[in-house]
Amino acid sequence: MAVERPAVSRPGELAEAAPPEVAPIALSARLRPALVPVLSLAILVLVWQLAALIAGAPTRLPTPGAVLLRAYAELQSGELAWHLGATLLRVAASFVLAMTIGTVIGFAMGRLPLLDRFAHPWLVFLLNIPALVIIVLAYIWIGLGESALIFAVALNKIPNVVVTVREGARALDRSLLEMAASFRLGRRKTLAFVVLPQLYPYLAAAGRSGLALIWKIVLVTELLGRSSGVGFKIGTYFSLFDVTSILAYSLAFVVVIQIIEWTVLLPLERHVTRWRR
Amino acid sequence: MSPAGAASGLGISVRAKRFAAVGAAPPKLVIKDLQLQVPDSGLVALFGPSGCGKTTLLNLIAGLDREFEGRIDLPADWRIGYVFQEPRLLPWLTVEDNLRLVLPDPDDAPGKIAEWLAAMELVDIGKVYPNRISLGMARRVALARAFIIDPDLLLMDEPFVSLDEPTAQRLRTLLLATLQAHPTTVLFVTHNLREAIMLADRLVLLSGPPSHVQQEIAVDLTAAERADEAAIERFRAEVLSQALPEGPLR
Ligand SMILES: Nc1ncnc2c1ncn2[C@@H]1O[C@H](COP(=O)(O)OP(=O)(O)OP(=O)(O)O)[C@@H](O)[C@H]1O
Ligand SMILES: [Mg+2]
Repeated sequence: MAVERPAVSRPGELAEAAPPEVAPIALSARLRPALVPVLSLAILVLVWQLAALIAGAPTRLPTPGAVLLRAYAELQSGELAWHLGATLLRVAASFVLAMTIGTVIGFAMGRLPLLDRFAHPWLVFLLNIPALVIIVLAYIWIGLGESALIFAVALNKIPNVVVTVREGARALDRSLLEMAASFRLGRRKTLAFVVLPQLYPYLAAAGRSGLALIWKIVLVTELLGRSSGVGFKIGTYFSLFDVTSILAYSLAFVVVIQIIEWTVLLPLERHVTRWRR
Repeated sequence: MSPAGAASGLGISVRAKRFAAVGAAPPKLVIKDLQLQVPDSGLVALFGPSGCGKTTLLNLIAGLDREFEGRIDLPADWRIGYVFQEPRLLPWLTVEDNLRLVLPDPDDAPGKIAEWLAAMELVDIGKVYPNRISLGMARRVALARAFIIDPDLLLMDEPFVSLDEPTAQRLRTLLLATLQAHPTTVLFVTHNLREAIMLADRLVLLSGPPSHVQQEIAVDLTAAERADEAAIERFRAEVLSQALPEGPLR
C-alpha cells in the first residue's frame, strides 16, 4: 500500500542530507577491534614525540609530555575547568536550540509541500552564508553577549538539521501512519511511537554531526567576542605565541567532547536502534 | 453521521473512486457504483479478482482515504479493528507493546494482552521484536491487535493467508467463538471460498475493475454445519453453480 513519493529533484537542492547512519558498529565487538584505535592513537603520540624531539623548538612544537603538564597545571589552578565549563554550557545551549528548532522546521517542511517550496530558498540562503558572517552580524545587531553567541551558533547549525530531518519526514512510512489512524491512536501516541522512532536515525545523524560542527563554531565565536571559554583562552595564548597552552586547551576539549560522544550519544543511539536485527 | 432514523450498521455507497495519474501511469477508476449494506453484527466475505479494488474499498471504509465520490455511513463512535493485508507492526516495539499501544486504557492491558497472546498461540514471543518473528506469527499479532480493542467493526484483508492450514482453521474457529461472545460487524476479503462459507453469512462477489457488486449470496448454515466439512463442501458446490459467469468464482 505504501506509495513512493515521486523523487522530484529540484534545482538548487543541496545534497546536504547525510544518509542516516545505520546501527553503530563501535563497541559491538569489544575486544580485539577496540585495540586498533588505541594502537593508532599510541602511534600518533609517538610520531608527535619524535617530531618534537627532532624539531628541537619546544616553544613552537612542545612534546606531548609538556602539553600534558601544562594541562595539569591549568587544571590545578581551576582555569581549565572554568573556561571548559563556560564553553560546554554554550555548546549545550546552542545544540539544544538548534536541534529543537531545526527538527520542528525540518519536520514541517518534510510534511507540507507548500511550506517546503516557500521556505526552501531561505534554507539555501542560510546554508550558504559563511559562519563568520552570521557571528559578526549577531554581535553587531544583538550585542556582545551570551544570547548573541548562542543565537549565532544555533543559526549556523539549524539549516543542516532542517535538511536532515526534512529527509526523514519525507520518508515516513505511510502504511504505519495509516495503521495509527485506523486504530485512532491520537496525536500524542502517533508522534511518540510511530513518527519519532522513524526519525531517530535522522536525528542521530543530525545530532552527531551537529556536535562536531557546533563546538568548532563556539570556539570561533568566543574568540571574536567573549572573555571566557576555550576559544577566548586560545585567542589569548595565540597573541602570546604560547603553543603549549593552546594545545593543552584544545586537547582537553577534544577529550571532553569524545567522552560525551561515547557516554551519551553512542549509548543513546544504540538504545533507540536496539530493535534492529 | 447518517441522517436521523437511518438503518444502523455499515452503509457503503461509492459512486466513484479514482487514483490520480502519477508520472506516466494514467488516472485509474478503481471503484464504480458500489453499493453494499452490512447490518449490525453482519459478517460479509468480499470476493474479487486481484487488483479489483478490495483493499482500496476497506481503506475507504476505515476512513484512511477520503478522496472519493459517495458516502460511507457508520456510527461515529464505532471502534474499527483493521487487519491490513500486510501485518504493519511497529518494528521498534515488542509484540506486547504493539498490542499495548492500541489499547485506550492501559489498566486492563496486561490481562488482555496475555489473553490474546494465548489465543493466538503466541505466548513465548511477547517480548520479541517483530523483525525476529515469522510472517505467520506477525499476521497473528496483527489479528490480535485488531481483536484486542473489542472492535465494533472488524475489517480484515486476507487475514488467514501464509498460515498452515491447521493453524488457520484453529484461528477461524477462534474468530467464530469470539464473534459469538462479542457480536461485531465484520467485513473481510478472502480468495478462499471454503473459508468464506465457514465464516460469513453473506458472500459478496465483486467484479471489475472498476469494481462493483456483481452478486450477493446468502450463507444460511447453522453453527453445526459450519463446523462440518461435508456440509461446507455441499454448499460450495451450490455456490459455484449459482455464481454468474465472468465473476470472481467463474
Ligand atoms: N495509491 C494508489 N495509487 C494509484 N493506484 C492505486 C493505489 N492503490 C491501489 N491502486 C490501484 O488500484 C487497483 C486496486 O488495488 P487494490 O489494492 O485495492 O486491489 P485488491 O483488490 O486489494 O487486490 P489484491 O487482491 O491483489 O490485494 C489496482 O489496480 C492498483 O494498481
Ligand atoms: Mg488487496
